[in-house]
Amino acid sequence: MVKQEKTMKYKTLYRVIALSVCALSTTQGFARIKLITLPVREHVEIQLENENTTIIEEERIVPLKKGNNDIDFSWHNTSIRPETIVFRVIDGNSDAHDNTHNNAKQNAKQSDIIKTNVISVSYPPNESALTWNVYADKNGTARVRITYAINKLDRKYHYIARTNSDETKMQLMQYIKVNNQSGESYLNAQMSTGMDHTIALPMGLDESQEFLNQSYEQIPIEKTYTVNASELGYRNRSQDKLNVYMHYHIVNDEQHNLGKQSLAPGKFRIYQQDKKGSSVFIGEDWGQYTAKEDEAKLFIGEARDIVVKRIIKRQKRQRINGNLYNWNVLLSYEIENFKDKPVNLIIEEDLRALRGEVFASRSNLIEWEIGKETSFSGQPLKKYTTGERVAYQISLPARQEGAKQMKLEKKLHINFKNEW
Amino acid sequence: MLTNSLKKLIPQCALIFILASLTCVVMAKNIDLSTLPARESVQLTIYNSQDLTLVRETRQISIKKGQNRLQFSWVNTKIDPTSVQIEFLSHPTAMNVSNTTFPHDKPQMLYWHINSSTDALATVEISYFTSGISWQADYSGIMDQAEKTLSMDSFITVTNHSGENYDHAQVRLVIGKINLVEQVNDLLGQAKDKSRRIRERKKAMRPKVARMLMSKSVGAYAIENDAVVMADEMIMAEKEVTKESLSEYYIFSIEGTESIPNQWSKRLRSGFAKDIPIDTIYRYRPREYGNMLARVLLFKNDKESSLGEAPLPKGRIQLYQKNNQGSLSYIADLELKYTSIGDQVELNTGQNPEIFFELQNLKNWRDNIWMRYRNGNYYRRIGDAHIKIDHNSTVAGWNEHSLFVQRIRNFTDQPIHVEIRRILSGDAVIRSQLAIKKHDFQSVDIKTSLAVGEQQELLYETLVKQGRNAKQSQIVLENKKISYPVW
Repeated sequence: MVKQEKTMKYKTLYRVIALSVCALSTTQGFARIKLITLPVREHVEIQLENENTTIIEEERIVPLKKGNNDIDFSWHNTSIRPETIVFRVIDGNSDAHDNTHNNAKQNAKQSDIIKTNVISVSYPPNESALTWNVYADKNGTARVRITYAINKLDRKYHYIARTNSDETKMQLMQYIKVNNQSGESYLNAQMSTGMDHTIALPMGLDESQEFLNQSYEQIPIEKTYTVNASELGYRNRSQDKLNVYMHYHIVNDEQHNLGKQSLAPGKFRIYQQDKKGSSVFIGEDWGQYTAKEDEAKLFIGEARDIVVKRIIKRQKRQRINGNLYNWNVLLSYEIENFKDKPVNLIIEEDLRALRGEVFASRSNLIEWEIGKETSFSGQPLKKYTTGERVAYQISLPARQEGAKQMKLEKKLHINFKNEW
Repeated sequence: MLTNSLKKLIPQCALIFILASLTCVVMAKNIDLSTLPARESVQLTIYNSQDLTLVRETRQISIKKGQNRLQFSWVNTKIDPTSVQIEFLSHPTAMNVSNTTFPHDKPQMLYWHINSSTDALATVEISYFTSGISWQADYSGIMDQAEKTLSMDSFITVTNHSGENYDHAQVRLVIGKINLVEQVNDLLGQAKDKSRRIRERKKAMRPKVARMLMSKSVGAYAIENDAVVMADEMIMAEKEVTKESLSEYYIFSIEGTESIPNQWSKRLRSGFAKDIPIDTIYRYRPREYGNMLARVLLFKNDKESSLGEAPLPKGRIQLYQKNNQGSLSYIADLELKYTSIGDQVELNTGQNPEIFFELQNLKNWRDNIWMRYRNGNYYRRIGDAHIKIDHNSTVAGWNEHSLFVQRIRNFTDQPIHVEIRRILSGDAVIRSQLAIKKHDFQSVDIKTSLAVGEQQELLYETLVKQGRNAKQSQIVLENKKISYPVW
């Protein structure tokens, strides 16, 4: 038992990132036998702002004497990236002045401030350590900041979204889970998550901490339904029934009660309030990085109450000259809405995939036109239409109780031109 | 533990210098009396482009009139035996080496036979090449919050794996690429068959620069400073690194001396520049930076940037940015390429997620289709009178038009400048009213600036002539208003 305790103690000692000031020879030599003092961490900040790199900034008060001082920094068994270590002296006061006094700084004359300079850094062989050789022009103490990047102290974002019963408003909570496998504990740490947002959280060794970082209320959501034969596929291929995907759209700006900061990528879990006031899990999706003012699209699930049948009714080759042809394709969509609410449906057609369904083209470029037989009203949706995709939006009326189910038929007529 | 530390104190492979003040020429003696004159000074000139360091050390030895014998050995070090030379600094005319003997039974040793016309305490300089000592530059940059200025520390780290401790050495670093016909490391351990090979190598192992360095005319280590600056520097006791040019190379000399024991590394600050004005530009150049809009920081190695004293040697740069709490935020770990005086430093700090950047193809069409006709082919169905005439023609040339929109949205809190490079192979035309400039015969640069929060949709049309329509490999710029397509 005692032995175990001892090994434990040894372990913690061994793992600690130590800063020590060598009070022995200033002419150093390279003997590794030293008498050292161990200045404690006054302040630790863990920065989680950079997506890929966690930065630790620690502040320590270091006693310095006039002349050259050796300051040892070692990081055995931790995941510090040694090339990133930055040593900065913030300020220093000479012994002639009372440091503990509140007005120390104001009272400090110019002559009381220690001038310091890092002269060199030495790296001993086969050790996770370095020695700063710091020159001070007076005896006294200096406040130093050591900044470094550390691996295996990472964070993940995840979100909990709660929508109201008619799916028009959403409450969004952003959580951060910080996982510390770095080999070092930071017990007085201030975590900084960007936008002046800090939280005091002790990070023990091999510990994880989860906390609520941001919370947003009353976010208006737009709900859409989408079909796309080649990208989203068929629900039932033999019956020509397409998958219907339901998405929430939220805009990360102040108008939409968001926009405080960019939304980091992470898992969104979405719950909906039922009529009794309790909440039901309705789906989850990976949220992409959403900058301020940008829009996020979350896939919630498949809608079963909207049925879209897609059929290629006709495909016809028209010769222009020699081996040059136009291809004439007519698609038909039969749409039924079994919901008791009107919905917005987006019909997308990938034209490269459609061309592949109809004929084998030799050309990489796709030239197409919308034909006269198209029965969608208005122009294709600008937001989703490109050189290789066409999209239309239609509004479907709600199902009428007792009335005969309404079946909508829309035609899409595409001319593939100048193919050979 | 203690013995270990003590071991480290003792040079693992000391250079033993034996003065045998005997006049006898025969060396087959196993019993010898020797004295060990210590190094008076040592200077290291480290080349980082090759694994090569020129060591020049001075020692004081008593020389008698007549014949003297000196033994020089370098067991367990990485010294190139063909490069060892001795010079008599104090008595250049009175003393000379009559011959050098490499004993058959001891690989890392030689004897100098010295003729002297006087009895004297002579200062000699021994110089040789060793491998295993290297240096590497690195930088640490801190940007201000507005990304307008950068303060940058330059460092050099000297690493000693040569097997020898060099205490209180003057350190000089050579920047530039020298030519070596053989690697010093390869020459080690080839003690057999010495006499012939050694003589050959002696000729070959002298790179031009090393020769110049050995001559006394170059290598002024201390450079006079401004009195004011000097006073401050003296208080801070920081090592001055002076920089001078030499032939195609630059030499950084570290003020004073440094002790670099075997297996240790030492990092020294070689420069500091404050308030370097920086430009941030966003570039889309897939061949250079990959398929992303890269944030590139630009600054010049010149006087306005408080740089420009010497080229910046290649090295990693750790880039930080000050945030409003006075802490540092990490930006990236990047490579700074060798930058000549007056040249521009480019640092690609990667993608900025706060900028939306998307290229979309909106519409494609073909025109100017040319058919090639052959002789008319006649077809007749067997058994009836039907005749069909088919014009056997094939597509021979056509123009491909594509309409693109480049969507950019600036979600950052700074206005941004964007440069987009587009590559169009073949006989191409690009039509738009954007600020487009040709970069070369098959690529163009599109430039634009976006205010904070601004969104832009840059529309342009490309036309690539195909088949027999293509005449040249070129890009023609045409000014034409391009609008959104109607599908």
